[in-house]
Amino acid sequence: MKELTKAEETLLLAILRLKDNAYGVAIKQHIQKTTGKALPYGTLYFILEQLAKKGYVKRFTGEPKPERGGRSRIYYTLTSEGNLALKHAYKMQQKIWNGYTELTYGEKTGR
Amino acid sequence: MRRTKPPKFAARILSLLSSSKKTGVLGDTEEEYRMILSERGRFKADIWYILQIFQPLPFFIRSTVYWSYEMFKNYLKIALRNLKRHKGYSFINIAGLVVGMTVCLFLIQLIRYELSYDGFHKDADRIYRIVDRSSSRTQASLSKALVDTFPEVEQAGRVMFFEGFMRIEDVLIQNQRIYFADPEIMEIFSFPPEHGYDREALSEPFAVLITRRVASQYFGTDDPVGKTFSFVNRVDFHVKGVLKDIPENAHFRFDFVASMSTLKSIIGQDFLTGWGSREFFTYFRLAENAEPGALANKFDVLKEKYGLERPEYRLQSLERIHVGGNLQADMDMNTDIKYVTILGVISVFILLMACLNYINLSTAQASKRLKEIGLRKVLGSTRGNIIRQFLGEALLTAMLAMGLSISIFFLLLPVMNQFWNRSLSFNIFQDPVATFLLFCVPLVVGCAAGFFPAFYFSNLSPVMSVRGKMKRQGKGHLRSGLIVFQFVITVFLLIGSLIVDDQLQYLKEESSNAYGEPIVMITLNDQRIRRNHDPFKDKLLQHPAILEATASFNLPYMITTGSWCSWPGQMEEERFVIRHSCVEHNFIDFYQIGLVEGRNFSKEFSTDETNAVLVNETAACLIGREGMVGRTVISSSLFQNATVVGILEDFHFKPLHQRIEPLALTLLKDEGHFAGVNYLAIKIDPNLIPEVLAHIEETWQDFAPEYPLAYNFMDDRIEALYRQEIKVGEGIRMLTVIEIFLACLGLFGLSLFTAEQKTKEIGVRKVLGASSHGLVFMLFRELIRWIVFASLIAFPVAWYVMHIWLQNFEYRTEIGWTSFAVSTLMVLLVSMLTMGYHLVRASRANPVETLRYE
Repeated sequence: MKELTKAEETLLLAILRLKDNAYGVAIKQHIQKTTGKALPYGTLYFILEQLAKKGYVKRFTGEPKPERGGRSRIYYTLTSEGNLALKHAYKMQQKIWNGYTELTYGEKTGR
Repeated sequence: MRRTKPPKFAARILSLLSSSKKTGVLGDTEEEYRMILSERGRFKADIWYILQIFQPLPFFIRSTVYWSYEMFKNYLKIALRNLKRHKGYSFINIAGLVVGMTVCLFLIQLIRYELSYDGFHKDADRIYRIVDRSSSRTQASLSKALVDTFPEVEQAGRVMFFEGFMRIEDVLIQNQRIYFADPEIMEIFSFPPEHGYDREALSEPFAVLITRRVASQYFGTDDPVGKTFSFVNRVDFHVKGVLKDIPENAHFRFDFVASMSTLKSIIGQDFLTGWGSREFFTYFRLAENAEPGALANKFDVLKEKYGLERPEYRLQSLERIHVGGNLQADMDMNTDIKYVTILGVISVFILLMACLNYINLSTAQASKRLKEIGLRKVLGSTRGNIIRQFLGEALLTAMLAMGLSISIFFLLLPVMNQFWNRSLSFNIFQDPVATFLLFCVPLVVGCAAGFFPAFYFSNLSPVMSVRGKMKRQGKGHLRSGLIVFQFVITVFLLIGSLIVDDQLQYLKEESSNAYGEPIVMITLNDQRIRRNHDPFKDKLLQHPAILEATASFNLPYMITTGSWCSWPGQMEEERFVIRHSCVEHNFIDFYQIGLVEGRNFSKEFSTDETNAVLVNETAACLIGREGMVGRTVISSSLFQNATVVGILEDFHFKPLHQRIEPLALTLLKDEGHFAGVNYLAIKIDPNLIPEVLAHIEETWQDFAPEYPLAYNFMDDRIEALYRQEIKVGEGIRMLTVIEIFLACLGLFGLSLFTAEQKTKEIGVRKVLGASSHGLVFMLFRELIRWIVFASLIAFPVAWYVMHIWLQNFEYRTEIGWTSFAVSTLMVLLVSMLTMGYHLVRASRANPVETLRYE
């Protein structure tokens, strides 16, 4: 399985957290809250398309809403492959980060 | 109600930008817009929304620029790889374009140079020269008459060339061009002054203006103003000012320009007024808004006012004097722009030829690139991409060719300048037209050459081309068409250059070589020798290598003096102008001119000295052939009541452009305006030329040490009469050779291709029993058909064009069938030789080898 990029990871996690409310604006705001970075819609949707192509997320079209100028929200949910990929990434992260705090603590006392 | 929707124009742009309608970008932005609207107000929301338009911009730019850069790299790589892989084809293509472009550049620069003449004068577009029908010189009083008669003539002035030389103390000035001019001339023209010069400088006698070159050569850094030059050892001129050197592209170029009024003390007052001899170049400046055509129509007024007999004046605009062709006795060798244009057209043909070669070869090579194109199409290349790729390749080739041709241009520039006797240049940085050409020529050539292949390739179907097969129909015709067209041009140019050669040969034979031994013409510019030339002649004849000598008033091939001819019992309408010259007794023997009737001048008849005249057949016919000998004729300025003693064969005493006119010859007299000796012709032994020339120089020193000796070989002088034709002939020959070379290059490349294409066919034919000879003939048959067809087209065109060109000459060769036959045969031979190598090799190959390649 191909490794997820950082941006893909962040997006997948956001969709997971937002559950049934995972659509453009919500995802964007969530990411802004957690990472402090504003992601332009162009980039956001580009990555979402990639994820959909890889089969990690699925698209659902909601009801048309007046505040969107009569357009529908597009909701995203994780597929099982998406979940698997996230799990995989998490394990990998753990392995990579394993013992980080101890190491930095040791360094500090060693000084 | 307050607006809750985002600004419309921004929404429109955003919807254009977002690639897919499926994504919720538009909806999302609008939703967020409302949130911001409710939290922070309309202004901030609007700004935020508008900024969204620019959000995708960096990405957009990055992706397009990145990909076009990547594709460009790929195209370039493939193009260069192809150039490298097919070295033969690339060489033919680039060499052809280089040759074509170089030739074109030269001709463009040459034409521009010729047209730039005299443009530096401030009022160049208002300055005109008045000339006669055939002569550039007009009468003394004309300039004053113009100003007096026509109010629209602002200023008029005269320039005159007077044979002579300047000396400063004892030093003779070398390479001097001395003119005399009215003070108005300096106001009509704007020769830039160096220093110390006012426009009135030439109003008093004995004033002279010199150019910087003379000033720095003879005075160094000293101030030349006030210094003295002596003219023909008789009068002293005082320098009144210095002019900047006259640009090379001026028809009126001088080293000294002296005040016209000085001539009063040299020749006499009468000379400067009146309507007698025509010795002056008359220039004038027209008032602004005046119509030159209207003025030219009013010349008849002059005729009535001054009682002139035949004013056939016409106007020459200053900037067109140089390109207006040659008139008699002009200041400078002019060019006929027609001739230069002919060369220009030929050079464009050559460039076209190179483009055709490119088209032919690159479509012929198509089979080699089919797979590439097919694959590109399969991978998503649009038609536009392919077109751009092949146009780009042609442009790249053209650019490479331009780079090379510029370097070749600069290498050849000195040679060409010497050949044309011009100072052409190509200043890329200062001359905007040159810079323009530098980019424009490869662009045009690249498009012309690449256009067809680009559309041809882009049109192929991907499936067929990936399989490596082409549709066979149609394209064969185009290639044959192009080749036939090339042959048409080649045959046409060959015929043209052969006929031009014929005519030049004819000119030479008709006008000179008949005399056998070389003839040296000495200009007798010293008054003492002129008055008493016999001792000088006798002294010369003492040298064993000097065979014969004869003195005359005119050069025998340039008799331009003339006057009205009359005879007792003449009708008014029979009046005509007779050319006349004064000669010695042995003139007609010296130049081997035959007598039709009567006798030559003879010393036995003492009356011959004063009243005998020889006329040519043309004159005899005009007067009435019967009983001509013994009749009395009168010339209005040369002889009264002279008796015709003999009739001469017609001979060319003027360039062959002009019809032979009536001519009368009398013996030299000691006095009289047209009767003195000007030239001494001597026939010399061709093996002892250096000794003879030394002897002439020595003898001259004995008789006139203070005068410089001036002599020419007659052949050279006659050649000078046809210099333009000779140059153009050489130019055409050179271009024809280049053109044939290009045609051969193309043919060579094509034969390589044909041989490759037909390998299999040849193999199969051989297996089935065809002989090598038969196969070669089969392959040549097509070529022969092309050439025959091309000749059929080229013949009538060539005949017509050459017929028109020959009309320039009053005496011309016939257009014989030989030049046509020779051209076709030559093209046939050369192209068979070119193609032969490949075709013969292909037809002799072992079928086992050729069929195995499958």
